[in-house]
Amino acid sequence: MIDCPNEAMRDLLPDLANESLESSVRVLVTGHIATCAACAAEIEIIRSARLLLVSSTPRVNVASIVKALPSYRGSIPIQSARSARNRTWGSSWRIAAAATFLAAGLGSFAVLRPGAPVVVKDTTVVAVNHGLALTGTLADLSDAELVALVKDIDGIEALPSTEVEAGSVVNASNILPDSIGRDLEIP
Amino acid sequence: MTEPSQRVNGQEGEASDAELIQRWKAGDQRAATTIVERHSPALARFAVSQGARDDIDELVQDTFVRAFNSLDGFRGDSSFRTWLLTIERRLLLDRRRAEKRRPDRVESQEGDASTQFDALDGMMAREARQRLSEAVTRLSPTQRQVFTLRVGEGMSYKEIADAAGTTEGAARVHYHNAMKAMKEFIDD
Repeated sequence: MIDCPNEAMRDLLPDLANESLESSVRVLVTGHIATCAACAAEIEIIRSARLLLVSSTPRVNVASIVKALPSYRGSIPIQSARSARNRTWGSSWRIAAAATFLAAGLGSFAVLRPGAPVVVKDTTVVAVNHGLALTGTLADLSDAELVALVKDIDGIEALPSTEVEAGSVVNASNILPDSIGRDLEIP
Repeated sequence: MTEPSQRVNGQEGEASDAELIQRWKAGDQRAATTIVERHSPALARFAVSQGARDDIDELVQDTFVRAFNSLDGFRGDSSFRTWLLTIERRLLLDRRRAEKRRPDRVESQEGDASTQFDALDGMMAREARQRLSEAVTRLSPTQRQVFTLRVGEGMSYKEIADAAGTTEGAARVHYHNAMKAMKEFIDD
């Protein structure tokens, strides 16, 4: 079997078999094949080999592979985080406490620290420092952002004008709307 | 033909690999399923062309796991499929090295990469099919690798070079040598 001397045309034969040629090029190649016995024979080998390869492809278990894939652990843009609906609040009671107080729209909130006196701090400064949009909802924040928010809150040293008397116990259900107070679990 | 030819980015109207990757990063597991469905056949064929037999499922899975663990490192210099094939090739090399170190290893026949395929319809005479299959089997591993990627996947010589760790010129030479060898065997 002799080879066609037109190497450029021969190079395009696999692309013709894979149906990946631009229409104008396809017309040129098929026109050439019609007049070239060598290329006609070669494209038949290519098509047959392709059929053989495709039909003999071993089947793999896609579901099993997908199950084995890792979860993405990189940074996720806020826009993407908003669309994720699998938020869990319960990992940190401090996050839950801070977030709940903020959601209640209070100008101040209580950071509950076991064994420590209750200190009421101003949320406005914290929110501004974070550059958080106060028009959004807490559901828009990722867990990482909430953790950072709580840390900043803890780091505020200036005391507000109001201060709860040391040693007193703050009952969340007394100062929160009933629906939130009931759901809040504070050990 | 059971598998329509498709560009590695999917058919027109389908999400591209880049879009699917972004969706997966945002938590859409269906995007991962689409990616695996789209590229696993090519990975399986490549594995077969390199002599893998019983562990193809595991090899393809390992390739995807490694790829998804390193998606942030995928720069897009090559197509996503080419990148996957590169990962799979490295895994195959690692396995071969590991097998060579094992004292009780069974020698694998380099030329014995025949595949077990389902019965074909009447499109090809059984004899012609056997002959063609044997012709592919007789190719050298590199020729078989390049031939499979060029004919089976429609990859360009540049993409083949990236996946196979060679140069574009060498890939072209390997392909034409493979075609020449196949023609000679079929004509005999």
